[in-house]
Amino acid sequence: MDPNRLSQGQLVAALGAIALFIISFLPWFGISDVLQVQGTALDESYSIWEAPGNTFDFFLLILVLVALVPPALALLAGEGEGGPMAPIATALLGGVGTLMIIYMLFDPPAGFDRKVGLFLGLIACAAITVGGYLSMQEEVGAERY
Amino acid sequence: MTNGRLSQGQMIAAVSAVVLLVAMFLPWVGVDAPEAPQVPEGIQAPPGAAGEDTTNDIWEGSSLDVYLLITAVLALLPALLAVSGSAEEFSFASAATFLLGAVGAILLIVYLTIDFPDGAERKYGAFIALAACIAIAFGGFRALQEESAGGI
Repeated sequence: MDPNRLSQGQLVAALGAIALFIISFLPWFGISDVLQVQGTALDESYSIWEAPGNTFDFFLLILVLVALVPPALALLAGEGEGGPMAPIATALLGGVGTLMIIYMLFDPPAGFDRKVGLFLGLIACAAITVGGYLSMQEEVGAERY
Repeated sequence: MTNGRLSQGQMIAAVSAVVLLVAMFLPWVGVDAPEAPQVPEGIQAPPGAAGEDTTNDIWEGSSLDVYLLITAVLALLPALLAVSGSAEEFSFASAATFLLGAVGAILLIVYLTIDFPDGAERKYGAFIALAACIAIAFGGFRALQEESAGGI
């Protein structure tokens, strides 16, 4: 395995995807000050996998796979880019994911608080988008020269 | 209208996007209320004994709404650009339409099978949206094929 096989964009997208996968298990939403046991407020928090009625977890899984597969192919199998659509897919899905998290930041599910995972997830999604965009530009540059 | 500028795939995606936008306002999730109790003739059932069936669309209580809105707008983009006469400026539209439509269909299948609220009933809006997403993905794929054939 030679990390130098990866382009800068692929590297940024892959690191963002790994970070996003880890962050998906952190608390994203929480309910606080609702449960009281012997006068003590209990905080209940949910990762994106546990949040009720939320399909965003599967979207994040697809995004992580789309961002990770081309660099993994380049590292393991020695293939160049993982197909011409790979950078577009990474940038597009990363951008949509970023927009969806921004929307959730402003309008969290009814009765839930925002937790740290939501903010870190936004940064990781933005990193994937930037990585995909850089890959697209690198590909255009490679075609030109 | 400028149908001549739109390819068949772009037309399929645009029409499906309109269907998807309409489907987002149809009932997706429903809860059937219990039937009214049998009471003797001439006696009124107490108020609230028989609840009303309630239905919700996708805008209430799901994170899918934003995703489907972005998908529909992107699928409509080539048609809107063709009307304004600047269709060539957005060359990634077909690939993006195919990708977002396909992922949208996967997410809707997951929503209908795994993530659906317990005790609720699936309504026709969700199935129409699923069909629209599949059609958007097909339209995007078709447009991609037409573009590559045109390039050769």
